[in-house]
Amino acid sequence: MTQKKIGLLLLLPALLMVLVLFLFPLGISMHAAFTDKQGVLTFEHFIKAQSLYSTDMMFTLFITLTASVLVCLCSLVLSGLMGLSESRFLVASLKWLYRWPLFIPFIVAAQCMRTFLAKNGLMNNSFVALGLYEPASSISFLDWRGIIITFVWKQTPFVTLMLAGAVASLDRSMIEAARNLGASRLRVMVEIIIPQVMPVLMVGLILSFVTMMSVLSVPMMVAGSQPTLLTVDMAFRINSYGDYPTANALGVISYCMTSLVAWFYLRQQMRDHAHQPM
Amino acid sequence: MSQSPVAAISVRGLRAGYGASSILHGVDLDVAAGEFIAILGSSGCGKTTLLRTIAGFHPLTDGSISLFGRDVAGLPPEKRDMAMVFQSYALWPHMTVAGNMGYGLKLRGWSASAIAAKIDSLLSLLGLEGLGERKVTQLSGGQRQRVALGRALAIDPKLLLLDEPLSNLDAKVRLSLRYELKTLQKTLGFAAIHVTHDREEAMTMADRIIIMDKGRIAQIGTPEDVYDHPVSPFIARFMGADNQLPLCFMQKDGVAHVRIEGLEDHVLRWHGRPYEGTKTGYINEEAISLVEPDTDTNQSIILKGHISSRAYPGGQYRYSIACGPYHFSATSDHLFAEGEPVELRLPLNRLHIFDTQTA
Repeated sequence: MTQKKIGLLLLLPALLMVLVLFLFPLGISMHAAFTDKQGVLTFEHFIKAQSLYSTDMMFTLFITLTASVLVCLCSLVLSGLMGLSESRFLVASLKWLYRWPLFIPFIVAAQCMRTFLAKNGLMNNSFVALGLYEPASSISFLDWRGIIITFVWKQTPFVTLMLAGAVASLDRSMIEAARNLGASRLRVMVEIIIPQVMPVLMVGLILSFVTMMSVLSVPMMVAGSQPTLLTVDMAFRINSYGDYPTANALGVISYCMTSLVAWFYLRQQMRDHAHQPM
Repeated sequence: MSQSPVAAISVRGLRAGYGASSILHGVDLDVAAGEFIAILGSSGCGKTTLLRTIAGFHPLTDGSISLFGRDVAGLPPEKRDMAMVFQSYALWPHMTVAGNMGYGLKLRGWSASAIAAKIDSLLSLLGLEGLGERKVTQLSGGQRQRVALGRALAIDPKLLLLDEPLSNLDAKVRLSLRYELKTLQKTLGFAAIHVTHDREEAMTMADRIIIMDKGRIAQIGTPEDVYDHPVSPFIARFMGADNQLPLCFMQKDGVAHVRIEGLEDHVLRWHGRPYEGTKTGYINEEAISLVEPDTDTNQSIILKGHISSRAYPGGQYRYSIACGPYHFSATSDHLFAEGEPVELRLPLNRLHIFDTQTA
């Protein structure tokens, strides 16, 4: 047997897994989204999805994009502190602490947030006890803010993990060269470190965006009411009405949102590579 | 070397370390304005730690550092106004050559046109004309280190710190950059501290050499000083005096004689400085010559031996010569066969004599 055939044979199990477990169901759900009961091409499911859930589509984009921006800022601050701080105690405690949310499932995080962010939850009670405001003026964060807070809390460690690794792998003397010439640590972060770890940051944020797009438990448990995320709408269409076509149409819309983000990223990558023949 | 009343940098009683282990045990050092100092030492002697402590990248535990009379020991690196060139070049790959070189000026608030003019003059000074808009990743090692040098020189530093800047370059580029760096330093007149483990590099570039050993300064002096008058066996060996022989000084008929341990027939008249008892002599291989029999042996120790191995590194032959229990290395223009008997001439004025060290 030639080497090429052996190679293909070795590749086959992995290829089959992708075909059976990913491409096949994806094909079926795409097919169901675009056809009626007779199997004729139609956009009626999309029109229905649009008429029922257009607010939720915007809401989903708003929540995931806002959360991504906040995750970006938080992970930059954390990885910057861990990479540049001269306080060993601060660096050691941050390194020890920041990873914990990674090991907590979304549903547990959502449950914790319910008790933390409620009107008489731990956060408000603590602020009242500190005398920051009166019990009467405390408000519940269990709405869109709660979803964003949970997402940021849960996803920041993931992006930080990738980013801190990228910062740590930079040649230390690049940072020292900048400080030596007179750059403050903030300038070193903004002008020397961030441009070099940008590709890693973008990958982390896109993976994080896709994860947030697919979480069902957090919007269900933390916010509950309307508007909500598309995942909740999909579950509702299937569980309450057995309405797979509309759920599939919502699924395709979610694909489009994530593909759009991925396309922006890929286009940027192509441009950077075109400028840098290495 | 222009001496100024205030030292470019003055270090007193400097101590530093990593955690509980101490690396520098009290270093005193003065560098005059415009002076080129090389810090030489083997790995782990503390030379890089000393440079990094001066630059502010490593905390000191005791002592003082002052730059032109200004105490900088408590300042962060960005406030010290020194420029450093790194072994790994440490260029920023997301910037162009001009971006790298102009960064220090941008930090100092220079206008874009002033930066461009300064970079143009630096590019031509460093032989990098026309490369300003290149990505640094497209340059060769020698070009990259020139850019790194330009980046450091752009801010007109009074003190340039060089952390083994030439050791990543191939031999030919290293030699030419060595010369260029020295010329630039003379022309522009900045003081420089150059850390290296390359003896020849230190000897050819520096006005004064500092040899470090185990976190202390073992000797400071001009290249001639440290080479010709080493103050300890460590320095002698470090400067290449790898040939050792135990010498026993004695008086015979009221005249100074020396006996070489292990070579019982070698009792010679001693014409050098007077010594007593057992000592160890150290001598560089360049100082040893292979002589024809019956040459003038005045002011020299002559040893009989035979060639045990030969190599030709180019220019001259390098021989290993066995004399009784001892092996010496020496160079010669003449070709000798292996096993051929030869005589070695060890000039007394090139022999460094110290107390015999006990292990």
